[in-house]
Amino acid sequence: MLEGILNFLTQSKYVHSPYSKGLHREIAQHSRTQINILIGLVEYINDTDPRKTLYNTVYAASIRASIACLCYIFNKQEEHKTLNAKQAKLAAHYNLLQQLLKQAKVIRNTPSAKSVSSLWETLKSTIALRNTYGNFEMNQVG
Amino acid sequence: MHGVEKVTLNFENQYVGNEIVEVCRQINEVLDEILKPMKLFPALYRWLTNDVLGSLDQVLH
Repeated sequence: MLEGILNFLTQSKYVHSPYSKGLHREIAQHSRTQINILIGLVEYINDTDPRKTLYNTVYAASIRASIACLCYIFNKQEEHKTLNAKQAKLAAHYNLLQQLLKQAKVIRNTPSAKSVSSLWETLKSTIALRNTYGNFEMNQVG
Repeated sequence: MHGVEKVTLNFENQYVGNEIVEVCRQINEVLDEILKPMKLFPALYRWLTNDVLGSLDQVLH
């Protein structure tokens, strides 16, 4: 799926020129949805209350795909000097966000083991996160 | 559920979580700026078509 999105968005007409208004709006709307889901997820992980709950199903892999796609596209646009002012601002924010997600260490506690990995890796290794009885249940990819 | 492992997630350092949320909010501000101008179109449509009954709102909601 990610490959398909990348192929579509990185066609030369989108990389070498600003997005058409419709496409731009569609990407912005999708990005806002993903960012809002990420905020909910991070606030949930940040919460130290053992009774914490999250009511939404979070498709973590799609958050990571969305951020990775946008960083790739903005970097390509930067190479071709086709970033407008707002896109340049977004590019800086998204690159910082990706960097922070790679730096943020997340402790994963399971009944059998405890491990630490970056939030970026955590987003990669899951297809869905959802809350049950105050805990996160993760559907592992492999 | 079969094949699902129960996991609790916590940040090693809570400060980084706050930083991520802050950057996300800054991204949302820019995205809002990008999306805002398009909200003028329903108003323009109403003005052009004299849509006093709000039929556009019925379609949109």
